[in-house]
Amino acid sequence: MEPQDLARFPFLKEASSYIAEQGLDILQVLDDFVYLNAVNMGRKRVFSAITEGEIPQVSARDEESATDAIISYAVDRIIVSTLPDSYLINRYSRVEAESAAAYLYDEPADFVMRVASDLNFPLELGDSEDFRMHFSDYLIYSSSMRDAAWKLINQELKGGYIPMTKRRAVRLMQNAIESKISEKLPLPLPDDVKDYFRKDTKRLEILVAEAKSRFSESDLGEYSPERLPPCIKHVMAMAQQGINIPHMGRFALVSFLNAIGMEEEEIMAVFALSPDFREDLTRYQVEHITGISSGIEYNVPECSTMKTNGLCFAEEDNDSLCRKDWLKHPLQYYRIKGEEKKGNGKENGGANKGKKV
Amino acid sequence: MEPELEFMRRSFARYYDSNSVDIPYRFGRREFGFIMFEGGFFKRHMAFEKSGQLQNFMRTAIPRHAYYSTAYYRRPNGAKMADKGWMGADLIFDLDADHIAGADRMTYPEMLAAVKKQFIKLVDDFLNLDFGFDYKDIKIVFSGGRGYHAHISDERVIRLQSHERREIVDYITGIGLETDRLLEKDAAEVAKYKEHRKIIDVYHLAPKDAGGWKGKVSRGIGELLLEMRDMGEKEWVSMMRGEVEEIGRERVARMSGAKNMGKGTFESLYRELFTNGKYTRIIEEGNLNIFRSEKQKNLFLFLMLRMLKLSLEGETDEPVTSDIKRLIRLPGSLHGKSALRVIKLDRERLNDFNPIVDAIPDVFREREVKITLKNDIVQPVGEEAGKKLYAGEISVPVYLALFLMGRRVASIE
Repeated sequence: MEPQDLARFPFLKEASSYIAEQGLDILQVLDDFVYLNAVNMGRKRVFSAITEGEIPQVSARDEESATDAIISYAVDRIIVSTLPDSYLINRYSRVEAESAAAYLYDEPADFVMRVASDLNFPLELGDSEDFRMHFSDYLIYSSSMRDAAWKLINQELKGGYIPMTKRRAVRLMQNAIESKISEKLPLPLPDDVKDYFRKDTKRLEILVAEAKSRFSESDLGEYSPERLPPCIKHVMAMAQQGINIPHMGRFALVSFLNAIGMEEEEIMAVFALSPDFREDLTRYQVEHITGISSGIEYNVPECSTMKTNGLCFAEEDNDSLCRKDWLKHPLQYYRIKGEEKKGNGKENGGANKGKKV
Repeated sequence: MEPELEFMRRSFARYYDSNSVDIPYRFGRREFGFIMFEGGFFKRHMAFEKSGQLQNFMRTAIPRHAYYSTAYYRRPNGAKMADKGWMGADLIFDLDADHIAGADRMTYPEMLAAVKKQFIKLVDDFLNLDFGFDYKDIKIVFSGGRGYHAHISDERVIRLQSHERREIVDYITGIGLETDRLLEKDAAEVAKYKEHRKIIDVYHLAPKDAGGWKGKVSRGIGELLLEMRDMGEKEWVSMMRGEVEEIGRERVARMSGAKNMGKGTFESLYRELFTNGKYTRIIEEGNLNIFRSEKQKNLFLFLMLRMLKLSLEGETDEPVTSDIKRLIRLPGSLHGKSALRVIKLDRERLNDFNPIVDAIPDVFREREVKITLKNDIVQPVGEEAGKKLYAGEISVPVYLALFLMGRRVASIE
């Protein structure tokens, strides 16, 4: 690949070999004013990723500016590593990966294949569509995709392979790129490098704190039973009538109530109404699921899991919010209902569509 | 030990004297587990380095049930699961009588035949056609009890985690199918009516050789239409209306958008499709543009898909497939409740395989033994299966005695 290409995909193995071939090492880069531009680009990259959610457009007209762009990627990884914070690392990696994917969408199939092979991403050229992928690889790389359009059953699986448009292939590659970028972060750094970026670290710290506080303000608010999704309402009613709840239902209920901020005792109280309530057993389960005893705070199962386990009551209850195809998670329901109550949510949910749970 | 268990144990000893168990692929990486005759306890976390050690164990310990792990471990004999070091697990499908509607009213041979039919569909339509496994890589096992297992040790699938395997189960059992994705969209058509213009999406069926559920549905609709063509109008109309009643009118209305679903609606649908012969255009061209109205089309498609989905979906036991640390019966061993042999088969042998005869070990055919039957029963296994056996003392071949003792319906002095 040309350096101009590598500039857009600086996370590739080929890009690091290119830098190595130039005989560049990072301490030298930081000290040499020739690379001042690259270092500043690196700064911009990080701050733009955190505040704007995007990477500035890379314009690598010649080999020199391409080299700068590749170096700027190395620099931004270093700056990110000066503040070991998982929110920061996740956000940064996601934005870098999205930016790379945006470039890839415009590339021809053979170029996409070259990037795939550098990443060891198991993509193949296809016949009925541009690409294809073995279903086992597909399952691994699509497991974070929540939309029903990605579910295996909705793929045209034949002979072990799933045909894929470039758009979908690149979207899955984005996941691989994201894990490749975040994999080694934070990098171990010598003290003089940390010192060099001290001011940047301070600034990052403030930005990350701001972002986190915005995040928690939009949090779940006060508990109100009318905001509960049908699945949780049903399981809760079962608990209170002493009907035997399947394991997954109990798990969903406890993890849900925990996620919306109920205290252990309040959760216990939900079960206590049941005629065959056994305090010791219930407490054990509640403590395990909420992470008090297990140390692991379990996530609330998403809609598809509830459906798989026969716990989804959207259809029975004819619930219009549940039927929106972007509604993927019981907590999303709870949050949207909360916003509706405040009067700033739209019934059609359009404004909430992209919300992360 | 009860005399029945004692008799079973002595018979199992004779079997293992002259028969070997099958050595599983990469068997040194597997955990083994056994349920013993004595006290019925479960001996787990065992591993064998050499196949001779396993054969020797079978001959001397004479377990009632023998299992091995579907998983490969770094230390298969680690006492806790966390110590073992999981390296991967075979992909397993298990289909038994629990998945067969009405199995509780069937005799043992009927039940096994029904399971086999479903199992063949799983292997042919799903594992081979869709998932692309060669028949030679699908190891088929009769469990010795109520069903069949399929084992796949393909490198690409042994690394899959539980939630990924659950997607495979959902694919097979039809969970999460988005029916609107089954059709393909043509360029939109613009309908004109006086001053009004309206854009209508035009759909057609995917080609019959399309992959996934799309292809299954396109092929299935064709077959279903041919069956329907041979029905009379009255029969067809009442079948479709029955379907509506079963689902519930309100729900059909909500999901299909149709308002009219009375007798008249279906009569006109029948005439359109079959009397006027338009069904052939659906079969040949996948053309769905033959209906009088959108609503009529949606109603028809909704009901067809409902009927089809049931016949297209496969069965498999979800917990077995998604469990990546499970123990499964060891081929070549005996099932401790039926005394039938757990038998490794291949797809070709499966066609003519008759478990109630073919899974009987020869050593249990050699002689007869006197038992006391508790109730009147129908003979469940052997060449004379189906014959009525009466309560009281009778003389039967050893295999039958063992089967009945395993089920606790017979006793021995």
